[in-house]
Amino acid sequence: MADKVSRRNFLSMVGASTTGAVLFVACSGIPDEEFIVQAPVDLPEDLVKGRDNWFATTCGVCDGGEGVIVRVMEGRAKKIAGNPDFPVNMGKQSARCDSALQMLYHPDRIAQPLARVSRGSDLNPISWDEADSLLKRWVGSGSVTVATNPLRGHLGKVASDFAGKFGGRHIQFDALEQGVLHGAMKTVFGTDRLPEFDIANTQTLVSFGADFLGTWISPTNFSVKYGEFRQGENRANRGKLYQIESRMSITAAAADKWIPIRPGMEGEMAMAIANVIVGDGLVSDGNIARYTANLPDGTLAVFDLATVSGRTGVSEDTIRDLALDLAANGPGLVIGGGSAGAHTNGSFNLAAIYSLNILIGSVGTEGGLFLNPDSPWDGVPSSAAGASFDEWERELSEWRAGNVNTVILRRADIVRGLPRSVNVQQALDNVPNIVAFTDVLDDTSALADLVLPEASFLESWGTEIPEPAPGYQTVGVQQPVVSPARTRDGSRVLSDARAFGDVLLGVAGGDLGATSMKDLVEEAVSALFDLDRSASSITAPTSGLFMRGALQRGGWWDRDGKAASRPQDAPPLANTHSTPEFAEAAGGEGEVFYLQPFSSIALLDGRFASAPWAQSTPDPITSAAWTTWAEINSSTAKRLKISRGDKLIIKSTTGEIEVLAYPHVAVPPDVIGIPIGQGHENSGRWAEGRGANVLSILVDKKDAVTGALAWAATKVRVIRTGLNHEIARAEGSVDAFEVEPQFPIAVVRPGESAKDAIHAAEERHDTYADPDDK
Amino acid sequence: MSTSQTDPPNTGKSGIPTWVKILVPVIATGGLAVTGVLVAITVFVVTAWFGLPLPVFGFDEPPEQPIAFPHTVHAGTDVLLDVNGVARVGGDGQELHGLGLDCTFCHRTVTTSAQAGVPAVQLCSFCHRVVGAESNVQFEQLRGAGLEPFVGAINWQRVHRLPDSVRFVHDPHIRFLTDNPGVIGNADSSITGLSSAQPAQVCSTCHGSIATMEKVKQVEPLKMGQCVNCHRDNEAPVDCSTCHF
Amino acid sequence: MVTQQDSPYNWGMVVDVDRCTGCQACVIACQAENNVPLNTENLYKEQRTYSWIRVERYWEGEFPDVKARFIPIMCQHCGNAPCEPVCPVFATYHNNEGLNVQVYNRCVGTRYCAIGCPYNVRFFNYWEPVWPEALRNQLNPDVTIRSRGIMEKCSFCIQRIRRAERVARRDDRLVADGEIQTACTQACPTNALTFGNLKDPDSKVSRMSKDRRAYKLLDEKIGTDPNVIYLARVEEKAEAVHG
Repeated sequence: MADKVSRRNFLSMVGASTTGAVLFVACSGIPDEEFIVQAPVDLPEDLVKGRDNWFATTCGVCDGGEGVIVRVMEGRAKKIAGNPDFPVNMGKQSARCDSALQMLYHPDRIAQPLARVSRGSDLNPISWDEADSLLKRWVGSGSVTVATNPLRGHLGKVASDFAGKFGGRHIQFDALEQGVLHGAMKTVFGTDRLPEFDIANTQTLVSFGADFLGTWISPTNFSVKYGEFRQGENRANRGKLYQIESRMSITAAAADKWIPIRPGMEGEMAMAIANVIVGDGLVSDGNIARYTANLPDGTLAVFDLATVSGRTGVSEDTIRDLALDLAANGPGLVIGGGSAGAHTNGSFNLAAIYSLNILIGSVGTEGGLFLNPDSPWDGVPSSAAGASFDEWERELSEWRAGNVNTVILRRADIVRGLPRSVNVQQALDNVPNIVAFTDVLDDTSALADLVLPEASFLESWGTEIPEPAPGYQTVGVQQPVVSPARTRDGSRVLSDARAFGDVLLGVAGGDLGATSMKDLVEEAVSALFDLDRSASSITAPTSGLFMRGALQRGGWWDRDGKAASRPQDAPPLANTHSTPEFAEAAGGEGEVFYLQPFSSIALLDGRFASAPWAQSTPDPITSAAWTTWAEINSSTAKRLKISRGDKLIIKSTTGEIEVLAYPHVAVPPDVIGIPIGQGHENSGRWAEGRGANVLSILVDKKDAVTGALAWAATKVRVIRTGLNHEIARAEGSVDAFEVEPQFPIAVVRPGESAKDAIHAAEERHDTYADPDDK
Repeated sequence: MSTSQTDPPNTGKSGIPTWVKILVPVIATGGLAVTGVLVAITVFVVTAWFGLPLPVFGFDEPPEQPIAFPHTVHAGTDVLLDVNGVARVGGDGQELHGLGLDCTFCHRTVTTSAQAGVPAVQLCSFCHRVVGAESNVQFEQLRGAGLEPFVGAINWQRVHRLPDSVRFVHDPHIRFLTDNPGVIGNADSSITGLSSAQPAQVCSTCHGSIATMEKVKQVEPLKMGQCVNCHRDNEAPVDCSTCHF
Repeated sequence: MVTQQDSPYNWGMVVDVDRCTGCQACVIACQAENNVPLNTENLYKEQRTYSWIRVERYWEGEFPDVKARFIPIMCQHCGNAPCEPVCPVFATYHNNEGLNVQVYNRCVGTRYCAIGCPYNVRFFNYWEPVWPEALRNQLNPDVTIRSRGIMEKCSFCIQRIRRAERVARRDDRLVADGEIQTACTQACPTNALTFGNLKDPDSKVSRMSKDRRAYKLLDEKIGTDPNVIYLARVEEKAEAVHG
């Protein structure tokens, strides 16, 4: 070939190669197949059309049930973005959305079913036929437990019907269970379903412990509204946000006022706020009557400012100002959750917090909260929370007693997620057959006898009922948007995965009303067509066209399908009130701290840990990534001679973990904050052996009412090891400090112009800079 | 010890002058260094040479395709010749001509998107379910009798390939050339007089006369100079970021 | 070399700092769209991560009256860019649509531009980008993968701009306001980022850029004339902060 090029051409090429060589030579190692669609054998569809399509579907990984659109080229997913039509997230997404792509194309995804001959032997590949018959034989002997993540929509129905058919139960697992929250909703509003929070129209928003902009329930939904809350074009005034939390989350950072509080005392502070409002008569008599209807006389008097201030560590003025603001500057909204509910008195805390909405008259009014209607489908779960820790303890004792023949696991990493005191591993040892559906082996599925590759939500059919719904009936429709990717030589698909629902339906052999999830979805959408709603998001003359519309828009909603939100009486709050109890730290050396575990913004409870994008997402507050760190107050750290990167042993009575210290100014002095999500023994090349699992040292304290795990009620000892490691983080080698006034963030008073603020600051010769710092 | 034995002549310790002893290693080292540099340059040039996707420079042998798809038969209109150069004759005794299909019959997305597009096997088998010799293995494969070698798709070898840093988009070029037949390279007077050009004429600007190629090969260099000259002549943008991003 | 024709577009972005919560959605959306190499732990430790857009966090005060403020920083697409004149091979320049363009195949990797940039938004490929084979399925075919020895930075998702312009030209019209969303503006859950044509006086970005809260980073000091406009954060007690 080379001899066909003339000398002149050759020389011109050498010229080109010396100036342009950087690209060409360096490129020689990379085949350029992925730049331009050109190798049909790589593609699942043989038509190379070079055009992309955006398909609508529903995200199945986060909890909120967001609608997404997926950019697909030649059968391969390229990008995930929010579905602009979908009323929950309105076209927006979180930092986690795109990581689902990396989980879809994860190099460590299980390629085909795996089974082991006996416990302790290796997992070996088997065919789907063999796997199917094995599964059928196992479930045929009855006593089946189906353990999954919280499932709403038709997959939830299939899982529980399946368990019912084979003489067992469906139990759901959520590392940071929301059972307390759902319980409080039931107590205060009489419904399990979470309400719609009308944050966009709120003037005064008070949040207790709920990191609603970062990780709590449905953060994208809340963030969209928060943007309007701050600078909405149709608003007269900028909203004001109070965040009461014993850790600085990004919600606390966004707040106008962050009020650090002693852990577990959130309920008492809510009662003190009520005491001020009721005592000073700041709201209408009707509201006060509703609030106090079930409160015996003198209940509120217990929560006088001086007492509560002493117990919560929040100054009297702060509580009073907040109460005045909340009562005077409506509409107000009070929400709570997260760490506020993760105490032995969690149910009391959340009930007290949400009852404030009744006092300030925010139930069913604009800028307050609206109760959500039931789902349009009867018998399909529209609300799901993990089973309480109590229930899990009972279930595990059944396993231990040998009463369960087969456990089917799906995205329930209980080995990693449940406290060590219940010893899940030992309970699993007593179960004859363990089946796990998974994409990448996690710590629980690694113990299974039969591991089945599970299709991603991008490859399977399903429905989703978002929670919280936007105040009216809304469902999401999930459809397969990609074809299975093949290896480069085209010889096999990367993962011969099947959908969880399809396998269960197949094993049940049509007894569950359908043989595939697709049939169920079509049936369900056809039921929506039959409702014939006037405000339906899809209008179509036939059921088939209606289905097409539902797939195009990613779901269905009916803006008139609302629930009545009537003002009601507050529940009795006095009888559940108690002081939070903490699991005391183990004896020995080291200072004692309240342990505050928190969901990592990118990994959540660890479900995204296998994706490198999620691993490399910098934590907003510390900018750390790829590891587990411990946030500790910088003054405390100085006193204890702890500096950044020091390896610390965090020790509770049930175990210890090693993490790297990250001191910063925004941590209460007696609290140590540790992100959840790392410390996987499995979960693929990017997660294995990385960081530490803070869940493993939690002590089994429970909420008094629901029996939920009180995951913020552990005290720990912090012991220095004398070792120091560099923390991977985005920030420079020194803390970021503003180099000059108003740079890069200009801060203005309401109504002030940025120009004036910048010049005024210069006039005053403000400096923050420590010249040695960046 | 015999007296006849002579001592070796005394030439000092080694007999080599000191300046030579100093100079030799210097020259040797220098020579090594120069050789090293030369080798490095050669390696660089050779790597650059072979690192370049050769088809960018065109004019090499057309690649073998997994299916011998003759554009002459499908797109051409000339009399079809057999291997001996003799005109092929049909059942009715008439000479066989090419089918003369429009380029866009198969490359359907060329007028609407970046890629010209390669059709699905389905489109081939639409005709070849009926048309084509019974004994030919490749027709049998298209008919679905044995698609095994294709794994559901034909792994066509790419003929025209641009460097990775170039984003070439077909549709605006096709539109422009269709509306401006005078611009088409190698244009004969029969084209320049028209108000719009036929697809085959448009495509020939960069791809040559594909309809006459038994095996498709690259005939134009398709280097940046060619792009820029045409862009400049026709007042198309010559901003780098038009194509490079 | 580059003839500057008049363009009806001057692409710009408005960043409302008061809406930003620091959630990192823009950061990951950008990496997914633009084939940014995986930021491994080692890259972090060597301070050589690639992040075309990043969210910086600034502390102020001491516990308990402490504030954390966030600001997203990306290439400011300066009208008078310090990175452009220092490039010896003309690999970075300003085009007629207000974009600061990086031409990968021209870049020879002197890194002068990165030193010239006061915003630290240019990233040098010290290594060949690598993805495991399976992950390559996700790569965006519209964006060049940058090889070792090349500078890269935010392009305002030029592949999306080009596509919208192409469609608009085909339909013989101008790109409509809101038709182009960069990956970050599309992702941002609080709508803190808005992208559009600053030359069109009726566009959303033009209207927002006239807000009282508008300011540009370093523009008054060194006159970089950025195409990214920030809107100041609002705090009730801002005067105390600076008093």
